[in-house]
Amino acid sequence: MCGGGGDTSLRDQQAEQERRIGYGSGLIDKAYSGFTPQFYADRATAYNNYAMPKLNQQAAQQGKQLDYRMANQGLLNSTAAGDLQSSLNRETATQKQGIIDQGISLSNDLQKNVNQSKSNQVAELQASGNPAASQQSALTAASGFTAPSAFAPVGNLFQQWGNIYGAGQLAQAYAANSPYSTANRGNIGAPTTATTLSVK
Amino acid sequence: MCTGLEVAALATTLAGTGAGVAANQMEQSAMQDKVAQENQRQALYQQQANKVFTNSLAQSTQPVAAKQIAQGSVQAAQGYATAQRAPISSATTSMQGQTNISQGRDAASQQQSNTARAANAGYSNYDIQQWIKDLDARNRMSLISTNAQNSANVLPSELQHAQHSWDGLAQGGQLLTTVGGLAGMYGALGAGAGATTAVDAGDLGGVGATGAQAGTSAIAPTASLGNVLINRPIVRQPIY
Repeated sequence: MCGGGGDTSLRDQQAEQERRIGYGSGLIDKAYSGFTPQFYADRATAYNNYAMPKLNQQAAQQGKQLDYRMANQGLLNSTAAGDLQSSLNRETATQKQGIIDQGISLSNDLQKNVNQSKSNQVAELQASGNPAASQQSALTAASGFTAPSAFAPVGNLFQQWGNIYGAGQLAQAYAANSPYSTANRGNIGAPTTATTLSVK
Repeated sequence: MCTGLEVAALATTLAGTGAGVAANQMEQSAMQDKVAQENQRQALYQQQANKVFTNSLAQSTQPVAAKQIAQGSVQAAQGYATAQRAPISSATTSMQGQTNISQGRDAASQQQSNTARAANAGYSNYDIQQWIKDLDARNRMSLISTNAQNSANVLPSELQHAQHSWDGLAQGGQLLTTVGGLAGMYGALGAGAGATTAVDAGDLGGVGATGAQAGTSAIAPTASLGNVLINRPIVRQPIY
């Protein structure tokens, strides 16, 4: 036999496998094509929409408690009430930032999971060389990510603030040793004991 | 002097040897072609991989990093701003205790905090975008690498086939060489027998002449391949 050609089938098989992998890769890309930047942004917004009302609810509750305590002490419309309200506002703003950050973080995690899943599908395709199976697997995995996920409960966002200001500071506000105490008004800003810090 | 048989044998042997050499060269050439073709395919794979790598690298530059950080910052800042604008569901009475100054101070503080925190949040966007980009590049290069490896795996088989692709010609050449060799041997033997007889006959002629003088006679028998011994001249002794 002249010219050879018995190896053609092997080369054809290799070319066919390459074609199948390329085709399967396209199918995987298509299965994950719905995960656009807008999709991830929407997921962050979904969390914000979920958590923000709860934050507002808790903030309003803290504000009412603050009102009641101030009213009980006859301090409504006082500077102290104003300071505490200011503190509550700052805390609320910080918690809002936290919720926005959490939404972005969830969105980023989702992006990582989706892309990792896609990478796994590509690796599976390389091993199997079966585009149809990879497409099915990719579609199943992708649909798992498109379903709305249950968000973790927000929890008590003002617990720390309540501990520090709601109870602690208010309780101490007019204690005998407090700088806010009438007896100590003259000592505001004057340290009772001198403390020397030495830096080695 | 060569006989026709010897010439034919020589020609056949030469043709056979030539065919063998030609087959060898054809096989070498076929193998080299296969290697060259595979090198060409591997070069194409390398070009594809280089393109993927270059494109990926182009997305890792300082301007791209700045852009992605800025995108993340803007996204966070917009989120903070939207969230801050949303009012608390019920305004508290204590808010009335806040002066305009303290409200302005709080607003400024929040704005400052938003800006600083948004700037920080931008880095998380840069991190995730780079991670995704690298993963995608790795996937693409892995596909190319798999294709290149699969292609290279076929080469030994192709070389083996190429190495035996002209075996028919080589075998034909070998057959011709063998036939030529045998024919040459046949011719050589035949020519050798004829030469020996001629020489002996010449010698015997001399002897015969001498023998005639001496009263002897020599008869040169016909050369025969069947019995070399009969090639030897029979010298008849004179009868006294």
